[in-house]
Amino acid sequence: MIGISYLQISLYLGALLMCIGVTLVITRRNLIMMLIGIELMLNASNLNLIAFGKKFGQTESHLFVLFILLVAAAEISIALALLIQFYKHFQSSHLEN
Amino acid sequence: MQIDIQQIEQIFLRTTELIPEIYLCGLYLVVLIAGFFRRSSAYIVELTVIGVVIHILVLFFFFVPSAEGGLWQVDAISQFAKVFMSVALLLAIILFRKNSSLAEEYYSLLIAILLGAQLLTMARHFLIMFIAVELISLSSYGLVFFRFRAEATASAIRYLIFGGASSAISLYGISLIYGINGTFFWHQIDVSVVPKNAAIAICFLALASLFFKISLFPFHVWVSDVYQQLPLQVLAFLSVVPKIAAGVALYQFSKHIPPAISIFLLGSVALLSMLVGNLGALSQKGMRKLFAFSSIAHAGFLIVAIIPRTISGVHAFLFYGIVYALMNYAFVWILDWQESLTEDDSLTFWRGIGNIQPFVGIEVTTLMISLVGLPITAGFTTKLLAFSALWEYYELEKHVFLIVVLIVGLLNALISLFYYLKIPYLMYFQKHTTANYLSFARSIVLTVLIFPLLVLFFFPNVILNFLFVLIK
Repeated sequence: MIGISYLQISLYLGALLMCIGVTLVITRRNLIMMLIGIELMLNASNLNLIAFGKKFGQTESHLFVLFILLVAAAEISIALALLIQFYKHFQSSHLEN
Repeated sequence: MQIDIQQIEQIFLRTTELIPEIYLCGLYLVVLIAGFFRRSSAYIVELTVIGVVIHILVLFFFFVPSAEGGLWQVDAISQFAKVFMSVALLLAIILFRKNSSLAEEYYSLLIAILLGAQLLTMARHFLIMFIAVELISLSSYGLVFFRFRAEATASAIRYLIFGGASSAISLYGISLIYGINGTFFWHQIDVSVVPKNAAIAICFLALASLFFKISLFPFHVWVSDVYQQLPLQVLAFLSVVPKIAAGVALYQFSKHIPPAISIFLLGSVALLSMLVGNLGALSQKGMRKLFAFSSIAHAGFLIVAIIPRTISGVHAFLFYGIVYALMNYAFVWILDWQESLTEDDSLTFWRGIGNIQPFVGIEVTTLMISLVGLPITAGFTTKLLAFSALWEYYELEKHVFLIVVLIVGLLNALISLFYYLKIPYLMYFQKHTTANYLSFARSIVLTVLIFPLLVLFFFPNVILNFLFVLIK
């Protein structure tokens, strides 16, 4: 692994996570899997932000990551509340037309 | 660790600029807690209305323009947008009160959306933009669900997944912009250091959540599904307020990216939204679906006013916003009448109504003409202003793509003729089937909403002079 910096590794990993997340959201019809996809996409940007923060030697991006984690938690709690309601009505966690 | 006392003092000083927002946070808590003590809808409505009226007064008295270069900036544009959005909320609550004998938490969510929209108009930093957009989104996911039907839960969760995905995409773009410049401040961003196509792609990703809020082309899919389920109050409110807020934020951001990139990015998004909205609306049979697709098309037209990134463009945008709010509220008002009489929201309801109720016929026809954008209604003035701002910018920049946007925009006004005029056609040229009369009180409100559309065609200066003086 000579010649590949930590920045490149993190960016490639971030891009990979982003791709997996988008694929999950687009292809799966199971709501839990779609929510996992969204979480992966959010973590891809978190990883990018941390890597770039190290490159620039700033803590600004770390703060941003904390906010993202916070908002993602709020979003998931709403999603799960809605998911329970969805399950009550349809007896399934699959999105169908 | 050293604490910079001056910096902390600075932070406290700057909070005076946020008095309206702090007041809104307080109002949110008061309305939420009041709902626990007395669960009666009427009392919460009164509390919310009084709170929002005081909020408008606060906005008039506490206008502290702030210096450039902060996380947020209070300026004339944001202040105007804030007053406008608060009035829109007030109107939505008062006009469509009857449909919302719903849980009390509902009103605190509306206030949270207003708070998010206000923050979004002041944003000058990606963190503020992200938090404001998420505040609007998270509250609206809850509101979609407030009809408590099976389909509503499905729509709400689809909306949430779509919104979550677009904000995640947006964050990825933001992280890349941060990687280029090492800053989240909009005024320090310089995307011209990377190749042009890469810069376009990155800016597109970063703005995804704003596009989602304005319901622009690749992020418009949720609109027809969600608008089908929303309570009417929220339908009127959500189809106007987040769009204005996100539009202002888009303007403030696009000022800091090179013209070639912003023209291509905003131009293509506006063009495609107009096409998708208008072509999608052509085959719709239901009023709500028609409204949804027409709002996608109108979002495209709104962005046409943003593309020039000039002050005349902002004037056109805000004027368009006001007229668009009037048209939308009038549309939702007639939808309210229809839904109070029948469960089914198909266009066939309007058959023959023009012949037995000439007054309703004239009013609804005026509304539809205004939505198309033909004279003698304000809809024409708005499109004229937006396209003339675009033309001025073309003479400055000489970018061919601007002409393409102009021509496609004019063609789209033509396409929209076919579906908007379907309703007047049904009203005048079809046999009457059901005896439905618009009550006197309803027709007065309809007149109050539609009359300004005629007045603003003949005297647009009523608002424009005010905008010219306020926003320089």
